[in-house]
Amino acid sequence: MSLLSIEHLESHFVTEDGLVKAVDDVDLEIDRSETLGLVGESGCGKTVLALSILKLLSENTKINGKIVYKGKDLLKLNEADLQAIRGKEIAHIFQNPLNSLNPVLSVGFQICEPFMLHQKARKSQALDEAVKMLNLVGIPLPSERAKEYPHEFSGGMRQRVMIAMGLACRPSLIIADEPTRGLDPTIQAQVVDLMKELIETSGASMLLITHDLSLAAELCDKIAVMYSGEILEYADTEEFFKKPAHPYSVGFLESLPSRSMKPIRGTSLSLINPPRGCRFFARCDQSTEKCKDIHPELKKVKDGQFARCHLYA
Amino acid sequence: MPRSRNINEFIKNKASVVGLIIIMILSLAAIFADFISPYSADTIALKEKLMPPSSEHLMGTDQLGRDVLTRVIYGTRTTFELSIMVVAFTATFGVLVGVISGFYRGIIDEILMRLIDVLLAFPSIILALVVVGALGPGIFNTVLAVSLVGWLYYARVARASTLSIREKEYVEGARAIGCTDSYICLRYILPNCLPPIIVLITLNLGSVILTIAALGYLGMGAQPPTPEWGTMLNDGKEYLRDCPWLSVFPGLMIMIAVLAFNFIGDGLRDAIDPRQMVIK
Amino acid sequence: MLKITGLKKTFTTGFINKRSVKAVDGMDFCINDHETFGLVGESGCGKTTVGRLILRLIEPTDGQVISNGIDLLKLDKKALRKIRPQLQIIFQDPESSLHPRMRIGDSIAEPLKLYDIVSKERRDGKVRELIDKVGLNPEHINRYPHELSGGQSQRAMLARVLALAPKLIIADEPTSSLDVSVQAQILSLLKDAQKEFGFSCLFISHDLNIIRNMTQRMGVMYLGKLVEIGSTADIFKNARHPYTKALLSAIPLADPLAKRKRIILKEEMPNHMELPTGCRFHTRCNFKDKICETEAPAMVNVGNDHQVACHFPQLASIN
Repeated sequence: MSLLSIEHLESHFVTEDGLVKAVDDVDLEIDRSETLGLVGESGCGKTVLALSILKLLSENTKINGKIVYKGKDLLKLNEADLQAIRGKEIAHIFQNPLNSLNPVLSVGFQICEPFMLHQKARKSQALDEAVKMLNLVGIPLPSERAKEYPHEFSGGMRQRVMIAMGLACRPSLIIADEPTRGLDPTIQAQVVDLMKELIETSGASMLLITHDLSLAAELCDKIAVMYSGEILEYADTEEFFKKPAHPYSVGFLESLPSRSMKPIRGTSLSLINPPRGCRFFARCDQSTEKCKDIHPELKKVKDGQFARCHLYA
Repeated sequence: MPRSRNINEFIKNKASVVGLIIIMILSLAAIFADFISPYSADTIALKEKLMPPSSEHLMGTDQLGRDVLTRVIYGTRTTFELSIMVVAFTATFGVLVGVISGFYRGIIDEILMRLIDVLLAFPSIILALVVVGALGPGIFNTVLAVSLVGWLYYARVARASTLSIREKEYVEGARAIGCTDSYICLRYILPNCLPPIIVLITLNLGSVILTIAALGYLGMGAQPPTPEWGTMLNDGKEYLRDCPWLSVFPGLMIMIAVLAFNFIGDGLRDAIDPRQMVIK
Repeated sequence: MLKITGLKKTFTTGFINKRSVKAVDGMDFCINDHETFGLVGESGCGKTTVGRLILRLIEPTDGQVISNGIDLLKLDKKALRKIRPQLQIIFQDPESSLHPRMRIGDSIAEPLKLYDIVSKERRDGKVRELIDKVGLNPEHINRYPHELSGGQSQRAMLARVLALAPKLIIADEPTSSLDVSVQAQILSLLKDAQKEFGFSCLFISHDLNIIRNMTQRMGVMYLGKLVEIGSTADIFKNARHPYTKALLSAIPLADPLAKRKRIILKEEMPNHMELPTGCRFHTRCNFKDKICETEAPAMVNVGNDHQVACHFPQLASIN
């Protein structure tokens, strides 16, 4: 049963340099209690896609397509209805907690906010819930630390606070944007374990946005690889890491320091005026003339794996 | 800093463009005063005194029969000359002090900052008046008086910029390469201090004009027969009821010039602080 | 090539209430010719400071840095400036490591100009040569840093540093700010450059995967001190310090089926101003004993070019 279904999503920006097609005809699906990893390099459009779901982008964006959540098309909702969903049904955990937390409000208050907004709780009630959340995410002495300010927390702690804020109203879908970026390895390990635990106990679905394939390997049931505004591969996690189908996925995996660290030649394209054929053509070692002219469709490679590549057409 | 993008940003701000055009017109008027003014600035024609604006005298005549428009145009020259001198001096001195203070820190910084704090506590107009009162009125003394406190703001801004720039990695890289302190100050720190300083200059020009006009109004600035907007205001105040044009026109000029500089300064500030959208 | 002994740096703040932070508290290690030595640790351990201390971008409080028999820390300003070209650094953040108002070509030419490395006529040619070596195009010469991507900026930075043909390059987390797809490119460029130019490298990072790929020998830092030093292969196979083992167990693996048991360290990194007594790591160590709280362990040899600062290194290797 699909919880979130994204169909033919297009998010385009009008800039003075031209039309930036950050998300160009993307289809994705997330089932209940499933974690989907949206993986790609920076500039591929994954964050824009995530922000499109809750319409958190700026006014000069044109969004087309359908984003169906529990039967409702989010793109057709008015602002009031959308606000009722934001934070309550679908929670977005932003990158970089240092910038995403309000420096002049106490941490406890910031976690209270979703309770007061969505559950119309009184401040004292909300504060109790906030302390409970802080405890849930493993922050010691939660009732005292709730009174402290973001700068008094370390990076790992701040990330936990962000997670607490996201989970406050027990959402059905969590969108987590690079939740471990900038964290030290041992702290990263702690946060990943925490996230695993919380997802399992709450039964929520998660859309994980990351450039870190190892993070996706640990947390996700399915992986979608995004490049230049498109999904190039979509597969079950195990299948993906056993044998990635798309040449870009292969190259991406090989370029990791935990593998052979072999770089992919070339650089990624600008999102303005994408090429006619396959967008990975210029950097692909297995390309043919066909790839230059004809844009490949997403085709099934085997059960649980789809790739946008002429190798599988 | 992307030059073309800054210029584009600036152009988008209509007020700033208007301000820029006004200042350009005024500057041209100041430079070509001899060619464009209908009469000479000093010609006294008592028979034609205190005449209201007409086709012959677009802004009327003053109590000595001089054409107000002509005096306003020459006044532009005086005002601009004075203000540019003041700003040139204060900006240079202030930035120098600020950069040295911020770069070396330590005792020099402490002393200079305390000095600046003390001086900033003085109301600048009063200080200027005291100086002019002691040294006597006149152009040079006016410039000196206004400059005495003006440099402080530049020093503060330059120091703040310097403090943040000296921590940047490209400055560390320069030291790693083996650049001397003076080279770093000149080629690394100073150019990167410039954006806020440029904005400060444009805004400062406005307030300097006001100060000079105020001194002129109090009789302490440029002396007759040199035309200056402030002194013209002073001259016209006795006749305010019957011959308002003597005061209105110079007053209007002051306002227009200051406003124009403020608009430019605002526009520059917005253009130099790019709010670029990053698409990830 | 470089021998470092007793390197210390204490930062003090405040006039009345003097507080001091021992960012680096006595480090001994050496870097051999043509070798890449990795310095690993988490944020706050002092590894970034170490790089700058060696170059005297921050003045050390104590210690010796001996290169070719000369103690760099004892040189006066003039002599230091003469030696500077031999010791260079590449920073983490490409956006702030190049002068924002200088074109790339000028930035690269600057060291050539300063030291008269080539004549004026040959300068442009040399810049073009360096640009080519780092994988940039001639059109980048006239661009400004903000017009380049992170990866391109790092390449430009490397070109500038290579202009001086240094004997030692300190790479301070050179790819941490870069996108993952660019990381591999920059690191492989660094490796190639080292083969060609023959410099030694002090590679500072918190990413153990990269360290494994890039370094021959490495040291692990914790709160200002080294806890383990040795050859990279040896440490990865046979780490002896509990902290090293915890770090190794936390390495992200791109493999969903990897069965791993993460060693979770208790508590958080202690505050620098309230350093634990005895062994600094004891507050988080799963193997500590009474002696760890009172006595700081000395570096002991546990193998061929492998040293640990721990009272119970044997115990650590069993688990």
